[in-house]
Amino acid sequence: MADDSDGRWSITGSIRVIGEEIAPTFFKFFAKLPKLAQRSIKLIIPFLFMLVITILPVDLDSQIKYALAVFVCISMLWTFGSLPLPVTALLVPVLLTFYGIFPTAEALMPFANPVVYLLMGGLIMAEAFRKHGLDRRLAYAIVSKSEGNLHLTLLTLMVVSAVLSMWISNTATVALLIPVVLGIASRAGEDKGRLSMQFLMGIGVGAAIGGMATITGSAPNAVASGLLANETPWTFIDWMKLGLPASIVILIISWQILIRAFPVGISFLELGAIKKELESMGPLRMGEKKTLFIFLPTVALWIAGADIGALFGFPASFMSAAIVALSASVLLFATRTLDWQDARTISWEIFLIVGAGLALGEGLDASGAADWIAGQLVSLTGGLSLIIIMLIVSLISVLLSNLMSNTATAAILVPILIGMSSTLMIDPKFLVLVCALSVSVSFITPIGTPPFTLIFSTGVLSRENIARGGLRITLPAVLIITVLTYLLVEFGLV
Amino acid sequence: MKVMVVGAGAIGTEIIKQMHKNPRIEVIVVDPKDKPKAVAEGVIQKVDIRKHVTPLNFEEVVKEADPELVIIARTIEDWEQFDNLGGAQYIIGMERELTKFDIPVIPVSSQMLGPC
Repeated sequence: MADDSDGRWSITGSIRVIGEEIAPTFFKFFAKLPKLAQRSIKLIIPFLFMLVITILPVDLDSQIKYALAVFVCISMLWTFGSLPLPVTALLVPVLLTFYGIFPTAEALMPFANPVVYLLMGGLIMAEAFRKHGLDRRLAYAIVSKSEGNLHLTLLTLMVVSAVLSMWISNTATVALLIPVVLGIASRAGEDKGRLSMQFLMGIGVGAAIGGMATITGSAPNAVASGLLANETPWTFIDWMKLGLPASIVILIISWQILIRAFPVGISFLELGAIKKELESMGPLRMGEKKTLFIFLPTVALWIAGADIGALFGFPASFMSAAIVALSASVLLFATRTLDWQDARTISWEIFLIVGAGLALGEGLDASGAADWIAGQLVSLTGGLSLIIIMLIVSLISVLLSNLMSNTATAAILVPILIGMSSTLMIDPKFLVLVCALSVSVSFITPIGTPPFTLIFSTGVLSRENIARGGLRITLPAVLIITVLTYLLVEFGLV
Repeated sequence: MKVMVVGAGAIGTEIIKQMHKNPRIEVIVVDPKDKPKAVAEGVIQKVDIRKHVTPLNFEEVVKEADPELVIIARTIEDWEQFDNLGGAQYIIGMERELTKFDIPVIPVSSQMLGPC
């Protein structure tokens, strides 16, 4: 799950980096200000903008103007990191009701969107994996299959990272694999530096790519799915029809790119330690068995729940992904696979951020602001073919998500893209899906996503290493996402 | 006796304080930060080796410090931005890897974090 939404991710770090290059005087001045002054400026500016838009004497429906004021304020707060992301999220229903865009119940309703409960189920399931060490066992088991072939080891590490992050937190996946990777690389003699770079990039990229495959894989997917479900029938399996092939293709290409971007002088590595570790784990323990016993049917029901439900004559909603996720969660607690103490460690703030993203989107939609922004954008892109517009959307999404939270990027862009699709009279899936997948491709900066920050913090990869390797993967990924989304939606396969 | 303490954050500071009670123990502190908690609180004047210790450079750092014992004392607070998002997993995994080397290592962070 894209855990960029930890409440602390912001553009500030990137601005500092970019600032050194393009506007040194301003940023030096800003950096010299006392911390309190910096925080106050970052907090006041968004509300000033909101006020200015509110009172601006322009010929615009007041509801549209108010929704735009809220949108700009929240976007700036998320972008500057003026407040922790979940705190800004709490402000969304407050502002929507303040401006009369929604009554209280409607402003809060998106926080109970089924997709929020689907995410909750995914996080609780992930906690069971973590608690019982099933994630570690899976990692060691798959990596040991490479038999020491370096290229295969990289591929298996990327596959492990991708498979785990389809269901559990991207950061937790990377955190789990970093020590494993460094442990393997430390046995590579003089090549250990280059090899560890290759492996670290591999697990970071793998985690991000795996997160694209399912709705539960990444919070931006949940935001996009929640908003898309208001426009068109949209299920867990619908997402996988695009997310999974996109993940597989990008993973294979990234693997080849990383081999070339970080060449290593050796071709074989001793994996005895990994095998020893796996042996020391012994057979599956009871906690692991119970987790698998609940996890595997859950995945099956997420994928084919509608058909299975129809077979047994269950109401259709009973087999919806969110209800399946909640049922699985109850089972995990009922079978004592987890206790409530374990649930306390879950990153609950993600639900606020996803809920706020959905509320903001619905506010923009209901007020007509999304259509208004879309109209302005359409006039700018007039005459361009759909695939070029999709490519532009993908590039903008990648750029923004390298500088700020992926979830916030999706929350800001998706409502606009839905409005734009309506103006262009095209299926919203074209633009929404391309955006939702592209925000996961933030490999260029160390602050693009927490997994990359964690990787950067090992001190093995420099900013330049990440930018060089990341950019080589980002550009083909953008093309693949755009073309694959276009083809699958155009031919009605998604 | 020469003891290398990896991490001068919350747990590291407490360990260093206890070590200082015994004048026969020489403490070498390793931390990537310039002013970790132990320095900020005046427990030590400066960090002896400013490095982020990983399995990749562990042997080099040990060679540089030449300790008889290593204590790994990194806490979740040292990874504040990852508190709920894998920080515990990272610290425990790293400790597990470091104890595989042929040097006496006592990991204390994971005991503070509980089972993972």
